[in-house]
Amino acid sequence: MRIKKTVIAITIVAITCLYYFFNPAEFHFGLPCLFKGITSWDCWGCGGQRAFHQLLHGNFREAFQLNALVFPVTLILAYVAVSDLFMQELPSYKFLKKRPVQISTIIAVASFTILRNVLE
Amino acid sequence: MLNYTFAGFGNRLVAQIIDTIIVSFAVSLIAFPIFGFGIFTSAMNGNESAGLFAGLALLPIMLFAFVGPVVYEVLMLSSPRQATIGKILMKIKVVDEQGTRLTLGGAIGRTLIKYLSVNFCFLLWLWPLFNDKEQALHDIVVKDFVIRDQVI
Repeated sequence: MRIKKTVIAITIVAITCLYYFFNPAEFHFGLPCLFKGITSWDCWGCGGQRAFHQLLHGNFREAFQLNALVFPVTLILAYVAVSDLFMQELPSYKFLKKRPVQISTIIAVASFTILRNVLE
Repeated sequence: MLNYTFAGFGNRLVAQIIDTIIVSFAVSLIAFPIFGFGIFTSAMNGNESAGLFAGLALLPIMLFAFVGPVVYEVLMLSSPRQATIGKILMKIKVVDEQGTRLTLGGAIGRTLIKYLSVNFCFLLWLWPLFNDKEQALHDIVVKDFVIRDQVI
């Protein structure tokens, strides 16, 4: 699957360059969050793009403050990218599909979303 | 139905990227001439009506930018190929619970939920990674599956 690996590699480079050189706080790209638009609460993903920009610049504290989920999400996406690029033909990501992981993820995302709005 | 191999998150992601490029290119083909005409008339006349025309030209572009991808995906998924161009290239397709082609209604529902959910949060697109049957939110609602295009 040469197409798949080429597209993944180009996408990783393009997205990394985009978020490294352009700060989403100054250059508004991407879609506005409907959840925030309707409820005025931050969703679990709000601030994620700005956090990723800070993460790429090594500003971990700022990244954490903008959206703490940027760390696990980046790790998961890196794991997916490495698996699809270098490891198996059709990775199944069985680890992520285990019941304890599913439940922990839901609890973590829900708790984060509630806490970030309550503690704001 | 489940004698099939699921598509795989990577294949679905790459198919979506290819489709986004195709649709963006198609939208650009329509948008650029209109923008160019608006800028040209503004430069020639330099009055407010030309500016208004350029502004009004944005409306159909914005409408097309939203409706275009939805129409493209609905028509492709409900076609005999059961896949968008990106999915065809990745050798994957969308089937319903019986393993057959999605109905037009199913394809419309799936596509609308897909684009609505990404507007709520793009992280919802990571759902298939955690789902046993690799279903995203829109797949769960419409009860469909994305599978490899050949029986293993």
